[in-house]
Amino acid sequence: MISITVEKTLSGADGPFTLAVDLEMQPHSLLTLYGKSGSGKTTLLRMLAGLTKPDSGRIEVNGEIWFDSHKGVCLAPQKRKVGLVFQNYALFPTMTVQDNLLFAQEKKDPVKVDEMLELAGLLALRKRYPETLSGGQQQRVALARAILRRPKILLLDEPLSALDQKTRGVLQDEIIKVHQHFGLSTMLVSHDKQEVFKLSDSVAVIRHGRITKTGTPHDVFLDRITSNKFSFVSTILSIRKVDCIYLAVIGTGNELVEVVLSEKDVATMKPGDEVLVASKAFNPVIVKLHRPE
Amino acid sequence: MNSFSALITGIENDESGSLFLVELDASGLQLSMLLFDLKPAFAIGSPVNVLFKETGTALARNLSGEISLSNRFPATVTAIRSGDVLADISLDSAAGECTAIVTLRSLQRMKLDIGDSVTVLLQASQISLVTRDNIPENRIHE
Repeated sequence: MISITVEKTLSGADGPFTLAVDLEMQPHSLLTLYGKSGSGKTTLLRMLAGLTKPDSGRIEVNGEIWFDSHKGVCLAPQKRKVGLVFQNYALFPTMTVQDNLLFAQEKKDPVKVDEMLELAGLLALRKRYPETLSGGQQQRVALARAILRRPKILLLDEPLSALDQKTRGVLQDEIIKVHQHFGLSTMLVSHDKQEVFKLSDSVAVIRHGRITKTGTPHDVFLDRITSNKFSFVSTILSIRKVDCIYLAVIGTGNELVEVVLSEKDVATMKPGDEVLVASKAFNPVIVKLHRPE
Repeated sequence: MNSFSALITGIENDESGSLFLVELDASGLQLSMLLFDLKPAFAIGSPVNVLFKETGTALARNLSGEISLSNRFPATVTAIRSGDVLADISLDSAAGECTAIVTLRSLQRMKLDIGDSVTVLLQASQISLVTRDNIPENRIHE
């Protein structure tokens, strides 16, 4: 469990305001902080990383106290084992991809670096310098470097907002992949609703330094109430005609599902549209699977 | 997806209070549907949209005898688009337009044509409800 109870007075565009947050995060989950710029999201990430000191409060990560104003505890950033990825990549421009990763390791282990490069699809780029890479490639390096340290929390501050839509989609899939592969606890700052839906287990909406809503993306964002048991928000990836009906491919995390659409649906829906996919509890077919002995 | 505007006119539930039979009035058509865990937005008098899938919409002609499906209402065939296997049949009913997608064989067996009167049949378990007036895009202001 990661629990954060912090307070700090910040100077906002409309004068000072208090960031006062009380937040719990399940280990191995992905929590998104969602809110306008200037609401305190980044400050909260910086507090976790040890880059900004709260006026008061307590930060506990899996039983370890990182900050406690009453006990005068404040772990230095390098003792906190966080992985940080920013919007602007923040790679060392004079080092190759491989050296950027090696530099991040406390104990230099080129084998682990190679494994990570392979996992991130960066092996072919290992000898390249950051400025010769695309934005998506640079962010992939930054992500690999952050994960290499086996962080207790991976902090992602708008990591994909400088990238085009297509690259963003690919990187979102990679974030999910590494988050699951390494069993990370990840805190993401994002204002892209679709991204929040795709990546988050839970969302905390932050406004003027206060958390105004928490829950699953579905609970937080969808006021439209349906009577359905199974529903998720996703994006139509493609629509193709089959006989006199249509089949839409819809992405759900790493899986793809196909849904039948009618001529009338297709008149109002196109690939790229965000949709709610739902099914009643009565409809799914369920079959017991026999475990191999 | 077929959609009718309707008002909730009645709610019945089982003893445990988790399964509900909801009665609806869609422009004079009486419909009923099943759902679990009734949300507060669904109360008697609530305006809702009734959703049902085209592929789960059955049609009958000269229907007689008893049938277990809860919902039946009259409609007129306004258009037919045939594929090789399926047919998309546009219908006009008191509650508005809807579509049924049936096999081409059924269409041929029933000898359906434009202007024909049919009975639309819907299972109570195949109908979904959504609250009205809320479009997701307009509601996220954070």
